[in-house]
Amino acid sequence: MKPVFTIIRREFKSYFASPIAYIVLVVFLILSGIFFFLYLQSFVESQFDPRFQFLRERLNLNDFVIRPYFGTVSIILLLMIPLITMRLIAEERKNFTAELLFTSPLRIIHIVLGKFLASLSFFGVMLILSAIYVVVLEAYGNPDSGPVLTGYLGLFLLGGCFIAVGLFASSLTENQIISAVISFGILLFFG
Amino acid sequence: MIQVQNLTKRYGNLVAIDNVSFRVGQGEILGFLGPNGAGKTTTMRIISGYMPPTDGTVRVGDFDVLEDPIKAKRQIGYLPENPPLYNDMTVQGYLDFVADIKNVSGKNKKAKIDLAMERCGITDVRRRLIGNLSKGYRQRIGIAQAIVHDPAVLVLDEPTIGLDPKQIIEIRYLIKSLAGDRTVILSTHLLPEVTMTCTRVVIINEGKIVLEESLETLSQRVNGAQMLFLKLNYNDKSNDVNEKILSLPTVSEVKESAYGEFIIQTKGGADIREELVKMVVKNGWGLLELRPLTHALEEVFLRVISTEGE
Repeated sequence: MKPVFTIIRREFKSYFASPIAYIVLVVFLILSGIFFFLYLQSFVESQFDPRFQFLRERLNLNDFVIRPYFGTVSIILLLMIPLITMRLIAEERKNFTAELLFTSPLRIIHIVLGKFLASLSFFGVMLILSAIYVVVLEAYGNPDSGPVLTGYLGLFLLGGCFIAVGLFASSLTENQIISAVISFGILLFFG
Repeated sequence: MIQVQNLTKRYGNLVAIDNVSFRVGQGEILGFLGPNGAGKTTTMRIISGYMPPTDGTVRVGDFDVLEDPIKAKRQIGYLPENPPLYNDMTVQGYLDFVADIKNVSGKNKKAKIDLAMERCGITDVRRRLIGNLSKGYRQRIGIAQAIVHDPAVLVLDEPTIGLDPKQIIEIRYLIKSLAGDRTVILSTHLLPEVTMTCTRVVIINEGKIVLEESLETLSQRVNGAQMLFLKLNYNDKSNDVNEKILSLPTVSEVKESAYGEFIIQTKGGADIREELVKMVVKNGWGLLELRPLTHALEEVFLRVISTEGE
């Protein structure tokens, strides 16, 4: 198990050694923030909309903000995760470091698992940072927190699935763009 | 220490190496020599376990690289043709990572990393980013990476490529000092490298071994026949220069390599320079150049490779 942690540590650090991590985080937070704001705004407006006056009992944060928010975020992730996974193996080949990894006393599963878990942890950071919106909801409203938490669990697992596809695509080529396009293809085709 | 048996690698129809077998004993420095595209890198990649052969076996120490890859790889330090470096890491961080994936235990790790850095002369750049370092440093980090876990076998693929002459000499000394009781395989297309560092040489061409010999017997064989290079400026249309030189008693072979340039081989290392000059003067050929050919291995190399091509 130790070699896996070594790989995870290096991969995770390398995300933050280049601008990739910061750009992905910023863009993800801006996009998800905009959609969160739009859903919240239309929810607040509908509170005062006379057309909804008899349905006001049925208006709640979970159905009108959180559920569509998770739906939109999953589409944003579909577009962003291939960009954080495209370099995983393709770059190792391009820089010849694959020769180091594959001639070291490591098993392939150590390398693959290490890279997968490193991306998953980075994705975890993205999700944790985006949890600020839920904190806002909790502070000013009373959403049902069960669906929120399972929603996050769902996003986490969905992201893990996207990462697995991206990692596979990255192993097919040494060109990062090809790798990203292949993962888009697979994800859009099956998603 | 290393046994390569009937190694064959095909890429589709292209045969990269064809039935290559050789052994390297403990403590030997084997020079793996050949022109570009001869199959050196492919052979080294197979020995290091990076790619599987189409056919054949490789044993390193007591382990088969294909059947017991983890144990075999533990004993090998491998420097690929292009040093495998992460540009976004510092030298120290990188070597720390390499030590980790090569199972260097926690207690000795720091000492081993320090030793590797010191031997390769990169201690003063330890905190710099690899991406910002020059080719010479990158190559040395590559070597440090190969020796950090103190392997019994070193496989170095063109370790001096892309370095300036001073660095080349340094790296050669480094390799010699690393050898000791380690076994080293070193590939190159530079001949002096082999004469200067290696104890044995394998010449490979178009995927086949064309010569395998210890450097001692090789140089004896080469010294047995002395060669002279002769350049003339003559207008003798009769073209009997060849025969006239051949008529000298100890000359065994005369080859006209270009117009007016001759390579003369003598029997038993006899020195015929004086007689040759007298003959040249007598015939009024106009002597431009006369020197012994000292690049003996080069001659062997070219001969071996060109006869293979015919």
